[in-house]
Amino acid sequence: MKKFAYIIAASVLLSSCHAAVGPMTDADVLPDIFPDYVGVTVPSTIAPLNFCMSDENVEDMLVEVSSPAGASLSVRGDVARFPIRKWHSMLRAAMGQDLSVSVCACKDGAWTRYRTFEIHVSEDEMDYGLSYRLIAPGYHNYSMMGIYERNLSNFKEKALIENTQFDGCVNCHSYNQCDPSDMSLHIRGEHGATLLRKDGKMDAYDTKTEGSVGACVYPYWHPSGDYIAYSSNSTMQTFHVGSQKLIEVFDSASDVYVYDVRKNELIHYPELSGDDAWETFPSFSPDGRTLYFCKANPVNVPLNIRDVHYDLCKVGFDPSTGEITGPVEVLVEASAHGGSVSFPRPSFDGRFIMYAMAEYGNFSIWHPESDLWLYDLATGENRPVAAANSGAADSYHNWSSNSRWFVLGSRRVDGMFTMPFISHIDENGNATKPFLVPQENPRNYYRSQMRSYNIPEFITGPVSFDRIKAEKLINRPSRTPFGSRIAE
Amino acid sequence: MSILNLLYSLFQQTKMMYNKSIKYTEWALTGVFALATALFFAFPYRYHLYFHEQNQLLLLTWDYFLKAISVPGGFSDWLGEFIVQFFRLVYPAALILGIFMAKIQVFSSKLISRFSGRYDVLGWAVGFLPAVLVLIHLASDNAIVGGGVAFLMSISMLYACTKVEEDRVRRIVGIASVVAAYWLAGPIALLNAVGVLSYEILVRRSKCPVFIVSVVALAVLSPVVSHLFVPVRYPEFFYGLHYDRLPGEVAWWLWAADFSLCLIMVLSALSTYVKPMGAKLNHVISVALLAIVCVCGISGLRSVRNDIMERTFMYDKMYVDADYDSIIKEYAEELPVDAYSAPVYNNLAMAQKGLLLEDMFTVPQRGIDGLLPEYEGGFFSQIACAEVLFQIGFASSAHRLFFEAQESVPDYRKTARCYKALARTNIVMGYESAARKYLDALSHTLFYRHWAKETLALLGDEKAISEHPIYGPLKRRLPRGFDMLFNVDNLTRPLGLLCVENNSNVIAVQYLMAYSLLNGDLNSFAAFYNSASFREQPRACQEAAAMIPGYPKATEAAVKRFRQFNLDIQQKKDASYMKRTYGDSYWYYYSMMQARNAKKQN
Repeated sequence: MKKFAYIIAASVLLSSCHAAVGPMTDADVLPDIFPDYVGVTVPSTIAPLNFCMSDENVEDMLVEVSSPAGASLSVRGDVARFPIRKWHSMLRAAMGQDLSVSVCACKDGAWTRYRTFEIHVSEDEMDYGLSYRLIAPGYHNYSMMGIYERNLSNFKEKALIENTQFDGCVNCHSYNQCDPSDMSLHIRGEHGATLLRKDGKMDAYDTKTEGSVGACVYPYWHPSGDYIAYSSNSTMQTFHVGSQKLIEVFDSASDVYVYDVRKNELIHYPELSGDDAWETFPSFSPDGRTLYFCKANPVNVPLNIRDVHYDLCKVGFDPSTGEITGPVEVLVEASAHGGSVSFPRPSFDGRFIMYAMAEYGNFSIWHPESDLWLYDLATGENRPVAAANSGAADSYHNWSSNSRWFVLGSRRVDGMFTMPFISHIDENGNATKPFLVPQENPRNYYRSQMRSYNIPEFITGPVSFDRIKAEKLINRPSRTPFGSRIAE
Repeated sequence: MSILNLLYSLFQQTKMMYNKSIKYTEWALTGVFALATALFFAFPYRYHLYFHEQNQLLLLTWDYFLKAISVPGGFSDWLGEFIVQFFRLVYPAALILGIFMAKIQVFSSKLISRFSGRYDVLGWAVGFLPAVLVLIHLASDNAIVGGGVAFLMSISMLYACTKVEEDRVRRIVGIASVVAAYWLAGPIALLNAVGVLSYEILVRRSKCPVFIVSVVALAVLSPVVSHLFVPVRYPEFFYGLHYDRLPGEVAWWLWAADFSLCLIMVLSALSTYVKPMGAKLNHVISVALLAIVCVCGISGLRSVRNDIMERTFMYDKMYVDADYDSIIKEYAEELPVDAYSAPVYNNLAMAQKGLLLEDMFTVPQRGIDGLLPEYEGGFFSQIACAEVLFQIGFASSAHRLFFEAQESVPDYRKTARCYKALARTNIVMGYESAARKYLDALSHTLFYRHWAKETLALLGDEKAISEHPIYGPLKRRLPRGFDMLFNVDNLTRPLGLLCVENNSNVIAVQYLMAYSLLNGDLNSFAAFYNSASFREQPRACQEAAAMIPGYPKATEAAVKRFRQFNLDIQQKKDASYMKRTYGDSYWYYYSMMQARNAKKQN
């Protein structure tokens, strides 16, 4: 009986083991892995950075992660999957230090040992997770899409709302400085509306007011939660023939407004509206006293689309009255250098403004040349975020609540689908190489993900969103109309 | 006494033979129904099967299966998709559908016999009614096969319930089946709730209030509770998520089958309370009923049949199979030209064979719209336009339209047709990582796996791609030195630049000329034709050249015939004569176009 038990135990053990690692050849190169986590900086709470070799013919891997304290974590398989608890305890212990990652890979029965690489574990904390829209990178038609939240400490993703609940599309979700309790969400299509949630109350609004270009989009919360800056855009599309670019999304008119949440009033400013300029992508400074936005001179579009250049501008804002103060100033005159600014996002520590820079136009995600730039509000220095940029479109970005991390949407992996990358940035604006948001089986996940990550935003906690109430509000025919007034 | 015995035994034998013959008749009827269904799908409706098959992408992966069954009715939908993947093979698919429909009828009939407590020809005949209604559902454009599967699953579960003899067990199974059937088959399982209730109350004459309340509560609560967990519009939990391709649309024919069977079951159960009708009357009613079902079935099928769509499916299938001769042949016989994409595919097929400029005016043309249709929301019109742009060399525009077609599928399904096309456009444009996504998905299918794996092997091998018989030429046709914004109303410039960059791009050259001709733009035509070199001057070009005074490339024969054409016009020859004599010429097309334009202006 005992003998029988031994045989069973041995068989179980043998069947669970991989083939023995054969003779190893040293290669003095870094391993080519997917996602590329070589030399990245991560927060201690990040989910395990599972990876695989980019070469899909690799049959097996032996990966060992070791910390300066002497702890190590070894995994084996075609995907390096780290056990989540051990991973977290190792990262917690290694805060401020580097983890060493050693990779051996087996291809055609031959093992290769690659040069060890480091992953730096930052002492800066990162928020709970991300909220984003998943949408097929399409044109006119759209299929299934939704707003989702993802816990960055593990691999759990949850749908907040999907367009299977109504006819239309969801877009332009926005939280107040990463706090998910206040939320603005725009619905387009047959059941078009703007869902606003403030102080736990949610309602569906019709944001089109007399004299505005159209419905309100591109929301940005005032830090007090009492205002939301919107732009209203007449947006169109046209398509390229004969280049790497596929599509141009452009505005033929746009204005910036501020919505007073308490009074239900959309404030129209003569300085930020009218036909003499196109204003778009508003955002508030973290002290709430400045309104940033992009501004371009109108041209005949789409014919002269290449002449559309947006500058980064600012104007004072008085939170007590909702009035803008002082003249409109140009911070970054991109038009003078053949560039165009979109999505200005001030860091919450008030030091920087990050924005996307493309050759022209304002829909940078469809521009392969689009890069992220950083404007230093303290020094006036303006420079590309070189460490975070790639040869493909690098566009929509947002800051973590402590301003030490930023998330960006980039098409660097395959050129067609936008994926979320996170980069560390220090108080002087030095960014690190971004890392792709980890997944349990990254190759399978990103390979089978047929939707792009759109408008990724950090959130400080799970979003408490009543999906069923939202569905009722959206499918209800009535909308609460936005009131409006013209600024004094 | 012996005579009486003999007579009695003769009577018994006759009765047995009669009963046997009735039984044979019943099965023969089922066989005829199955055969008719199979023939219907194998011949007049064969391209409908193709449409279904092309409009889905069943991935044989665990993830896909789990996602599918995570919604009410998802399991039956998955089974439906599993069946539909075989629709590539027309005859086996038709046979499957024949057997499938026969199964529905047999189960319906058997179920009716469980309720009526007797096995007779009338019950068998009535069973054809729900089956025919399901057949009409399957023949509708937007019907999903999973709806039929849901119905079959629902009735088979109900039948299994009624077979349980022990009362307590049957009630427990009945209660469980209401919830299980709802989740597996969707709200069509209303039939299960009505069925188990009426069977217990009317047939088994049970008065168990706990059972009744439980069934009613579960039937009502199943959709309500499901809505808490599944993010889908609330009403869909009551009329079905996966029965019709259009979200928000009710699959009426399927529900008609459901309601009719519910009603029949209740009436059958109630019939046990009255005196049974005589055998003769039973048979007369059965025959009448069968005739009515037959007539209603044919009328229903005619009402849902969409000939234009069937022709559209046919042209698309022929193009996918590179059967250009059949496209040209079918189109030549197609009068009037109804299918929207018919002239588009015909022109493309002629261009693929190098015959566009030779033969394009021998068949009806629909102007520019028949050459390169304007953006239109329909799936197949976008696909047709994308195929043209892809062959010309405008891969990025083709990619966009294939993507649009994919996104326009109303129930958000992915399609094998578009995935294959998008893999190709990505390869040609050089986005191999993006192509890999589509190919990887296709490699998890039953019928596209081989192609996907073959194509995956090409990725990363530039030489293999450039030498590939499909991708090599398409890559060489790509525009290199220009970029402009797409305008379907003015493609002359990009087409012209494409031809200048690569004059061996014969598809682009033909389309450039054809575009000018169909537009009536003789100046552009003259400029392009002047610089083009053909081994033999195409007929349409000769005819157009003859219209330009002093044009050097005009042939003597064409000029002579054109003079005669003008003479006949001056002599006001009647329309039928003109059409008969010159209907195959560019002049005739041109004059008709001028007349239409003049009429529009007036």
